[in-house]
Amino acid sequence: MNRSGPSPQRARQTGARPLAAALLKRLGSSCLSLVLLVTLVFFLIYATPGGPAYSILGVHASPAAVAALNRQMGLDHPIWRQYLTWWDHVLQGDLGYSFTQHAPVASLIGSYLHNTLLLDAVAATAAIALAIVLGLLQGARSRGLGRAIGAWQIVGYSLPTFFVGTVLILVFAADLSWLPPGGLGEGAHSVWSASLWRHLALPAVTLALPLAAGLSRYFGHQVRDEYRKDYVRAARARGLGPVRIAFRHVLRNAVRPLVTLIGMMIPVLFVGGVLTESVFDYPGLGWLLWRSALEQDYPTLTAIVLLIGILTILGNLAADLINTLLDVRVRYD
Amino acid sequence: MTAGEAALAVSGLTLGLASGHARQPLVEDLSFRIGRGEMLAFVGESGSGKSLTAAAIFGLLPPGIRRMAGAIRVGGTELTALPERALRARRGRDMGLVFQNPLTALSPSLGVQAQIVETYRVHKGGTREAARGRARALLTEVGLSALAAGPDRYPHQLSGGMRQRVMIALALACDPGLLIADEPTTALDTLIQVQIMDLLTRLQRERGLAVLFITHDLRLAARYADRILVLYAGRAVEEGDAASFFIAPRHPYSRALRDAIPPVPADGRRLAEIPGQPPGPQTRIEGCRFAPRCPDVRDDCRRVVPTMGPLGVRVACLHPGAPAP
Repeated sequence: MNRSGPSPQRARQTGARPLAAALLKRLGSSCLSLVLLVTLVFFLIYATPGGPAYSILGVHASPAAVAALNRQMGLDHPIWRQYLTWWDHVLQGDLGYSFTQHAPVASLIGSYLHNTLLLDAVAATAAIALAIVLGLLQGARSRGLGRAIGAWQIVGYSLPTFFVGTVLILVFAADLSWLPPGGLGEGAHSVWSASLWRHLALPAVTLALPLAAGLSRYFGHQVRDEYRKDYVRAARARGLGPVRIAFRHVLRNAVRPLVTLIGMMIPVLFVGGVLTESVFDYPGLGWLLWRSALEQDYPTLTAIVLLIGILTILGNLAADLINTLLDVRVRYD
Repeated sequence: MTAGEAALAVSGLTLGLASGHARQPLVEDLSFRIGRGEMLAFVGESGSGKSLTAAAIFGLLPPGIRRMAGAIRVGGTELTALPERALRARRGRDMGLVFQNPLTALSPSLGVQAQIVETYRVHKGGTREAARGRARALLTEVGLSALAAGPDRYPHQLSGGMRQRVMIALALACDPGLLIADEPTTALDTLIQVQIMDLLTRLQRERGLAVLFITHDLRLAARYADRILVLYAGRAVEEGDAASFFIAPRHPYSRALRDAIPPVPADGRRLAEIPGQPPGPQTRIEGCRFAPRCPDVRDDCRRVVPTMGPLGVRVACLHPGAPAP
């Protein structure tokens, strides 16, 4: 027999070139999405009934006053010129002026964004950790525990946010008095403040619950497919334990679709945030969106929509990049 | 060979559906033993119970299938009495398993050296460095010296034959006394088949390894194994020395199997085929399970269940052919 055996030179020799091309292509499509987003938001403002002047001056404003304000804001220019001006403002970070808050939107929005990012980061981390553990358990056990997790997922996914939030407030704030029901003051709160964390706990759980249910259900199916594969049987036949097989072998192969899903859950977090932050009176972007909608504060509304859109695109980009990098270790070595 | 020396001794193994819906056990009253340095080949069609027996030895029967009777001793230890934890400690350490398809049986997102290192350290502990040295030595032993010297590779970066060599190295990571190779060459092309079988027999010889070689290819079995055990519909029908077995199989089913092997006989006869299908577990057959398809069937075959008899006379047929001269 041939002692030296076949040589591993047969191994694929694909270098950095296809990787760089893949990354560039992905970046390009994100840029295109951003351009489309900024354009779409421009047309949303442009299409405001009666135009922005009416929403500022009120529907009973005199035509002369409207014309004067339109001239002052440059709204009498042709649409292409307004469009370019809009881009100019966006690129400079000028998101307009809130007439109800009497402050530039860009400076207004910062503290709310800070609070929301903190809440979403905590909720997402909790949801992902829970989804991984539950998904692995569900995939490994088809009966008993697996069925119980499956039932929990349906309930957790379908319970409405305002219901869960209200129940949590009733139990943990009203009955047990462990945590405040809400009322974290406006403004940016330091991560070192205990009050912030006490106020953040319940909304984070409310946000994380449906996310964990949805993620773990999808991930659980992925895991179950992996468990049917030969390599899991082979790992068992080598005497590897169930925890090692789950985390070192199965998770490694089931994690990529999960990363994509995590990228896609960013808009879900923001949308869920509108209700959650309102229920818990938590001063974040969702809460601001809700208040701006009530006060018809269009500049703030459009700025939030733009911001959420940008974060969503960036989140998906990050997920895809992480997946490409995970893939690189395997494919492009 | 005395009882104490057997690397693997299975006696009276009976496997069936846990639900009890099957009218016939999937494997019935199967007994055999393999000594150190010996290769026994299981030959049979799909569904004859070959792979199920391997799974039972490892205590990894698919859900819904249960061991109903029988004893399994590996290296002198009765495995069926062990709790799952103790059994797990023996899988991979006392016995190794090589699968049919080496691409799907290797963990796809881990390097192959890392997988050997992992298996070794789970059972033997020790430093990562020591385990890595062990992995390199094993890869060299199975003929992958270039892979042993270079950086770690993922399974998909290797060819089918290399992957199967890795699979063998992985099964031998902890120096088990018993290796079960379940159709190890079926997914490979003919040239690689020969290389892998040569490797297995060399390891068997050099390491004094007991090998259970599961195959549906009677020719491979006759060429490489020391002994052959033919299974039909969950029952052993004949066991014998590989060389004489091929010359003069005694059970009508074994004869039919041998006569169905290409090339076409030179005297112009058609390649023999066995009429009908093997019975599934839902079919209850009185007497010999091969009787409905047997060319030499007689009346008593449909009433009496033939057994293998004591060691030495190992053919489960009421009217067997003459033994090899």
